[in-house]
Amino acid sequence: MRGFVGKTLNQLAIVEEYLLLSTGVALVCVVALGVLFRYVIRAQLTWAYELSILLFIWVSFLGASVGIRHQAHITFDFLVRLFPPAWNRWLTVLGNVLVFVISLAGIALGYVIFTRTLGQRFQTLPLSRGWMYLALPIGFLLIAVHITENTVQLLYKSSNDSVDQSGNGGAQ
Amino acid sequence: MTLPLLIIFGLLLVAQVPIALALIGSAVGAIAFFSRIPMEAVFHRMTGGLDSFVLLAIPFFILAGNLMNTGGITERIFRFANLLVGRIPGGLGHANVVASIIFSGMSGSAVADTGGLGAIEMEAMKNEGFSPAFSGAVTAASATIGPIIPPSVPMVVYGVMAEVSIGALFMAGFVPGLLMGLATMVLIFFMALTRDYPRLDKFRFMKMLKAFGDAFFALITPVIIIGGILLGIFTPTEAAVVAVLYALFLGFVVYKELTIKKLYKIMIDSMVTTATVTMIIAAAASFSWILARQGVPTQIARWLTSMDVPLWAFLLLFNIFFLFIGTFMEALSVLVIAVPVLVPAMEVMGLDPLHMGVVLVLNLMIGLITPPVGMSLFVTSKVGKIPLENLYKEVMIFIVPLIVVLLMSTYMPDLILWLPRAVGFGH
Repeated sequence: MRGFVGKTLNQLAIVEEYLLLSTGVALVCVVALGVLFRYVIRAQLTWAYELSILLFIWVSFLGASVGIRHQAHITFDFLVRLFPPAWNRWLTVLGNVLVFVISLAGIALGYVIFTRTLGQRFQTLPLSRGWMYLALPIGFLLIAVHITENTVQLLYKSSNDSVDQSGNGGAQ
Repeated sequence: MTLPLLIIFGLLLVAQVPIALALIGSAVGAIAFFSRIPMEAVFHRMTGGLDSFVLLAIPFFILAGNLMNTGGITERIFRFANLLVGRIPGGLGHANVVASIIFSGMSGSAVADTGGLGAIEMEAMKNEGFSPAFSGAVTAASATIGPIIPPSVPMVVYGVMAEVSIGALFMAGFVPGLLMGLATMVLIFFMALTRDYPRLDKFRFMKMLKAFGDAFFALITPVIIIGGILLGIFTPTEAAVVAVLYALFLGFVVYKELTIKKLYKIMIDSMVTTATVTMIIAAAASFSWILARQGVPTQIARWLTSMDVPLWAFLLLFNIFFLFIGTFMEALSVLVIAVPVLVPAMEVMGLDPLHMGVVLVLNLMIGLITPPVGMSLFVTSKVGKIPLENLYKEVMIFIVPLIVVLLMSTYMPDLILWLPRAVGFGH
């Protein structure tokens, strides 16, 4: 995508990757610190558990949205492989529209959960539990943005390009 | 509400909605139209599904595997494996299997095995004159050992779903994993006799020892991970983060092949792979919550017991069913959907969830290399630039030794259970 919108989207993607990177690095550090304290300093880091779960949930939702952009998510592509390529394209568009609709539900209902949990506190962290649930609306918002981006790109592509949709994620 | 849930899920899958989002979408749809439960409960359950320290092992084992794959470690392991077993007829084929076994002690994922180590293995085998299809088939088949031998992402997922100790599951997979490797090597041996494959001209002990020294720091990784869990020093999550730190140490300090730039890419890739897994787990938490509310697991348990089939027949049907499902559905999605539904049934039938966990994962791993889907085959074909059709033909025979190990594991539970019992993961 070109122009102002394209530029903004690219910058958003860069910011998102850095956020994902920092939450990932923080997650490794927090759990590593927990291990260090338990075995070397022989003290329990009480806040390590809640903080690592908080970071883990953010990694999952940010990673999920970056994964939409990289088309890394696992799809059930067994049937689609049997269809003619022309169908493929429209099925992907349909799927993307459905992902968009599901994301809208995620944004709205995630926001409801976020506002409702703002008043609750973590037991060991001086933070509102809302910060954990904020990952829901933000994650789904980014998923909605990227799925729109993917769909527009797909529609702009000339129709004789075959669509590569092999779900190459997976971690069996 | 169960039927609409399943129908919406199926339709979303066919429409190419990613599995994680299809699980959420069907849960939201079923609740919105067929019940009075507040819809935000679906999303609340998602975060609840991730609230587990055990699951944190997943990002760390994925990260550790990816770090090992780039840090110059895989080459050293493969070179050592070749000097160790390359003299046996079938040469590099055996080295391929042995390297996969060693690597599976560091990485939790079959696909990571095929992608990194597999590329090196296939390249070397082609250069030695093995056919590309055979090289690919051996690589894909030996990659299925990865998640059976600890550490293993599917075992972590099963453990969380079935509430079985991850440490016990890891120990339980050890013996069947080694047997899979052994059975595959026996097959390669006989294939080599009829096909006249190249092998090392001489077994050179000193050279092998030198390669061992060269790979020494990499080779002790599985010892740290498995030994740490075995001796009860680490929990699986702690072992996973220690593996990450050790891999960073190897990559930056010992082998000096890791750079900050490579690290950035490895981190992003690992976190995205993590998210594709954890989102499925999170989404399945709401999906199976609805199934549980509807009493589906207990109904299935009651139905299975009312059929009054003998245990051996039930186990056979269990294997056939999951081998079949595994051929066209991806392993983790099967685990997150099937396990919560099946656990009550296993209890009623008097089956050990630890035993069944290994059998189930084994079934699904064989599914990774059975046409038409087979995730491992796709990756192998992409990485090794081998046409899928050629790979299909050549890989079929490799399913036989794996099925033999599957049947042994199914009908000889002690094969699986003695190690966890011996190290004190009793019930």
